Amino acid sequence: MSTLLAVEGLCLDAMREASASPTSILRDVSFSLREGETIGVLGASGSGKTSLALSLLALLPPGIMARGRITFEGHEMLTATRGARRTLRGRRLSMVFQEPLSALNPRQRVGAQVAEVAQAHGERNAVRARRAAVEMLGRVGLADADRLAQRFPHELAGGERQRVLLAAALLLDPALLVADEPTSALDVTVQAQVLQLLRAQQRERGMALLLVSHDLGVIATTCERTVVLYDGRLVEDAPTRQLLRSPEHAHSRALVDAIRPAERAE
Amino acid sequence: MAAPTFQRLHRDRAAQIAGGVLAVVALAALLAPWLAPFDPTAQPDPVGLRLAAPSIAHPLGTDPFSRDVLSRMLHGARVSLGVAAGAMLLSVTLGTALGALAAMRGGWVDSLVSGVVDVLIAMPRLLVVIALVATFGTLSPWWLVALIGGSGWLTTARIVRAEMRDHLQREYVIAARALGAAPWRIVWRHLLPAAAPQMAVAAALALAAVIPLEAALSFVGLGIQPPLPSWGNVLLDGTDYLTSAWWLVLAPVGAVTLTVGSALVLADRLRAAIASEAREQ
Repeated sequence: MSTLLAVEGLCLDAMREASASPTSILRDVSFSLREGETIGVLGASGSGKTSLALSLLALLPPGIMARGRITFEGHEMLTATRGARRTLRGRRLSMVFQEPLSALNPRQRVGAQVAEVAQAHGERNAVRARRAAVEMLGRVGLADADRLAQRFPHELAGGERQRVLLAAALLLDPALLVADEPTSALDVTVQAQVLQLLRAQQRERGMALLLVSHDLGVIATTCERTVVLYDGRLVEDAPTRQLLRSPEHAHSRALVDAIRPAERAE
Repeated sequence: MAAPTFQRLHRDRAAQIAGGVLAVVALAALLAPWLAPFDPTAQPDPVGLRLAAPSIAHPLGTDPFSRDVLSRMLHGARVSLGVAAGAMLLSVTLGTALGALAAMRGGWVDSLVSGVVDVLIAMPRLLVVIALVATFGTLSPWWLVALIGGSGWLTTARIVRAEMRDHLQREYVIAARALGAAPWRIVWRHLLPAAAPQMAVAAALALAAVIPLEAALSFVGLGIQPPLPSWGNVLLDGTDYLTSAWWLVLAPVGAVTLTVGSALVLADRLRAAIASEAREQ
């Protein structure tokens, strides 16, 4: 299968003030992702995971400078025009966020927020957009999707909200889904359900998945390959099974030991 | 949240009363031709009915030309409130558009808009408008709307820009962008509803500012021209008789005070509703 996403020598620097020297967030990060592949980005908080995820969609907040290349389906994400980026976002590559309550507009019914993705990509017929949204809400496992679409985000449970975000992200069948800590804000039982849904959707669609997490357990059950970020550098890039068996970098080893103390003691 | 903020206002006693007063005044203005007992410009008896004190036939008395003051006040409300409402709408629309533009585009566009606002806001509005009217000569009510509205967008632009910049950094807006929403869609679907309560405050304050402005212009003879009545020129007709015919002054001053006061109370209660909404989140 061919390469879907290639990140080459990506450096991110945060400009605090004009006079101060920039703070480095990511240093020389390179990796690539094939079509339909699942990759986990593992790192502690502050390792630059979220900035990496945002840079893939060229959504870095003002004040963060990016160098290097991010190629997605032949498009240079960092240098593409705004219009070109916009047509890719939501249609070819989507993102779900960590905190579903703050990633949804509190003033808008959730059905309208899912339908908005279709409308942003040229669907003129509001009824059709809405019907597609309700259908998608059903497909991400929300019961009574028609009624649920009429509710506001604060009226839903955490897991339901994350499913709504997922429905919006998957509505137009993207080739890549970037998920930034999609389960960290959820209860453990709900976490498992959402991960299961994520895997099922990924397989069903043959979609590539880039899952950002600090939790090796989450990545181990979801991703074929894992890259480890440590202090802004990519320190390991290996099949997840191999990483679990014989981690090379000291930081990876610490992470692996942390989830399997009993096994490794044998 | 937009809807709950306005719902909260519905339950607010002071807001209810202020809203009621504004509604009554607006209704009186709309229905003036049917409510007014006399023709506002008719001078039935300039000698015998000159400066008649309030009576059953003339509840607010008559003016120096024997015209019925109540009828002039009612018809004046149409003109005064019409100009005020038009100017308020114009200034809020203009301010919202420019504030949104500055917030969305950032960079030099933002610097330009903010700079212009900072400079113009330092100028006394009444004097600027008087200078402009004096330059162009007397103006039709439409030009008055354009002039008063066109000079009042500054605060709205400031409020809208600040509110939108705040929401632009929130995760739900970033999430909408992550799914391909264009800037105009983000403004329309996400930022305008978010800024709506603050815009309503700006609109109420704008109304409170333009009513006295129109009255002041008409009072110095640069606004609405006689014989067309407005609250400002009813007052103008009365100033010479302040000691002998108090009703001539009391009626327009009372009307302006009541209307502006109600608008200010409404703005204040709306602000309180926004604040308590924010506390609960």
